[in-house]
Amino acid sequence: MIAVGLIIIISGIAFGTGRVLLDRLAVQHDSLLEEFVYSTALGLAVLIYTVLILGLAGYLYYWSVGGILLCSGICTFAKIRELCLQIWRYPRRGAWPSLSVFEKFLVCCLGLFGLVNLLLVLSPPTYGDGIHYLFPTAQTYIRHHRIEFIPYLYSATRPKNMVMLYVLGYLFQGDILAQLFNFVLTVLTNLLLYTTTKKYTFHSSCPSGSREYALLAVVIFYTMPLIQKVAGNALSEPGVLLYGFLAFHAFLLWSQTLQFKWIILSGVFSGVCIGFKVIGVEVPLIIGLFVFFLSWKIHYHSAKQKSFRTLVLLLSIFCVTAAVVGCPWYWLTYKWTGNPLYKAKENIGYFWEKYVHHDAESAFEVPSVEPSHLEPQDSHSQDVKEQSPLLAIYHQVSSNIFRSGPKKLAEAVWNISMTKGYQGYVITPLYLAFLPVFFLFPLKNKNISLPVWLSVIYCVVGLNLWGPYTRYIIAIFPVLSVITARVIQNIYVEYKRVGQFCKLVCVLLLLLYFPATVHKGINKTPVALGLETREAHLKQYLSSSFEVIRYVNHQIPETAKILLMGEYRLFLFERDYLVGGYLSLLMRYQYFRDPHDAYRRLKLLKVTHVILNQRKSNNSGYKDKDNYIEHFKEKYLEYLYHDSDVYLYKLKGTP
Amino acid sequence: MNMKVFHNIRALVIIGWVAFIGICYSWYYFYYLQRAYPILHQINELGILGLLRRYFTP
Repeated sequence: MIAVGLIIIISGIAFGTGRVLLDRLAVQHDSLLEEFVYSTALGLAVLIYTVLILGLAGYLYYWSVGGILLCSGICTFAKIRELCLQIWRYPRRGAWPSLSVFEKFLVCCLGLFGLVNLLLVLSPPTYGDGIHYLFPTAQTYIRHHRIEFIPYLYSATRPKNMVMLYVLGYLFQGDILAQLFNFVLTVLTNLLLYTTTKKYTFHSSCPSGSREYALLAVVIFYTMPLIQKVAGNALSEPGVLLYGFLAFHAFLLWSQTLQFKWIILSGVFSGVCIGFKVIGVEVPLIIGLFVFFLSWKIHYHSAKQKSFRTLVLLLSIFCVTAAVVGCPWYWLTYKWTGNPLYKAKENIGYFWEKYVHHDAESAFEVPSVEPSHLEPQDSHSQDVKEQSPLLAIYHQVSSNIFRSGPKKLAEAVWNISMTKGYQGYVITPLYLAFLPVFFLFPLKNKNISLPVWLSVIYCVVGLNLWGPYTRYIIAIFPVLSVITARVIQNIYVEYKRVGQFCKLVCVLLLLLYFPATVHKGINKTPVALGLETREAHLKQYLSSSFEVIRYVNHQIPETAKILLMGEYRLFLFERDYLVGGYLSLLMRYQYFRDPHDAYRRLKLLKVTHVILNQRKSNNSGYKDKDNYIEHFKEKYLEYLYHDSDVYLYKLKGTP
Repeated sequence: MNMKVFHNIRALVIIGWVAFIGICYSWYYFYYLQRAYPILHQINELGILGLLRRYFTP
């Protein structure tokens, strides 16, 4: 409950800060919802960059961040009070609308899925990305009170706006508050989706129906198992979703009003989006294209006074704003590694190369040689590496589309829509049922047709590029849900009976895939409601590792430093650690081929203990065929504790 | 083409496509349940009565 209270307070302060900034830009909105989403999102972005600046300055303390939050709260109190009053007065206006049966069903759906989402974020994290690098990165920053290069973590060279929010969460409460930021970002996306769809599904023949289709768009989007997954677990995608969609929304407002402030806001939100994930760059690329086409059409193609300068100015404003806001993490990565897009996989190889085989002191130097030769020798991967990126993309797409034959292609459409989400998550059948129908209607509004065509092309190319990683094209789904709702409205306006049939199919499909998502929430219910202890819950999910971690946290000295081999539940460790392999896929026993050298390096790094997760290591495929680790264990390690296949050793000759 | 004919054909195409996806997904969903939950395998093997009999046989 403390976490829920804190998230409400932080969101309130974010709203106040954002509102003050928007007032300075003279930005006015049509509805309270739109104003709330814009202000809160902008305020959260300001918080993210404040934490980043404090971290770079080495002032990442409870009091410094808390002080800034308090000051912002006091300075913007009038705005927060105004919002509270508006919310308080809303039910008294008699403004509660009467809902149709279909709308009631949609509201129930939203409530149920929202509850599942809330249960997931209120329970301790057990999902990979959060526990093995997002939370540990936040914890390490707080432990060291500054943002610095952590070469052994997977996210070391990735943009980390989400981690900044998790830092806030960890400073004031812990992982529950950190996870609640995911929930807040998703709720804001839903609210924006609602207002956007309501505005763009307004039809003269069914004006009241726009609310129904707005709800439908939100339900289509929010009930996607993929969205439920990213909203309920510690992942960066909710940030990409919210800020990507905000950038698109600001672009739409610019296309209607042609005011500069909207293009600036679109650029700002695109920049924040890039700061969440490298793949977020798709948002400014697509919106940049839109800006170019539209400004070309307005200011050059159909204008009486052709102004090429305005076109260039608009595009430059958008690109420069996005680049300036998005650049900090890429600049930091460049500073640390010499390459703004330095790959984490290579980074880990670099860490090993520097730490274990060379001088520990030089580990933070700019790498002079790309450590790709450390990769396992595979003739196929070597061929791919020699290709240019464009050629590689061509081969990937062509092998998926042209060489697979019509049957495979048909299967691919089905698989993409239904099953081949990340780790078998179903995207949703509603898109497949209704999006193709869009092309049966003559496009009266040409401004809408461009985003639709681009979205479809992007989906096809993107899904072919990323294969099962549907998460990488997630930014497109809010736009697709608006279009899907619009299609169903079009059907209803033209053929009332067919429209009713379509709504019935919607209900059926939603009812069907609710249980597929809900079981995750059911497993988490006891711990979220306090019926099960946090320890018991984590033990159930983390099995043997949990006992060893508990032993480490209670039994070994606080000054100890542990080398983790094949163990990645980093967020539970209360001791300093080094990670010997991301998800153990990169764990290579050959680094221990010279046991004495490895021992010397570990001593240099002040490592005192080693944890070896035997099962994870063997699953990774890098088996200790030559018994390197066995020789190392015999000579330099002393057994301390084990549970099942997770072993804790002490490095000989350490206190 | 006559606009009215196009209008009707389009309605038929929409109904056909939406129904097709609905049926396909329903089939897929029950197939998924069959694989995901062992109890459904048992129902398949023993039938509901057989399952009940097994549970209530000491």
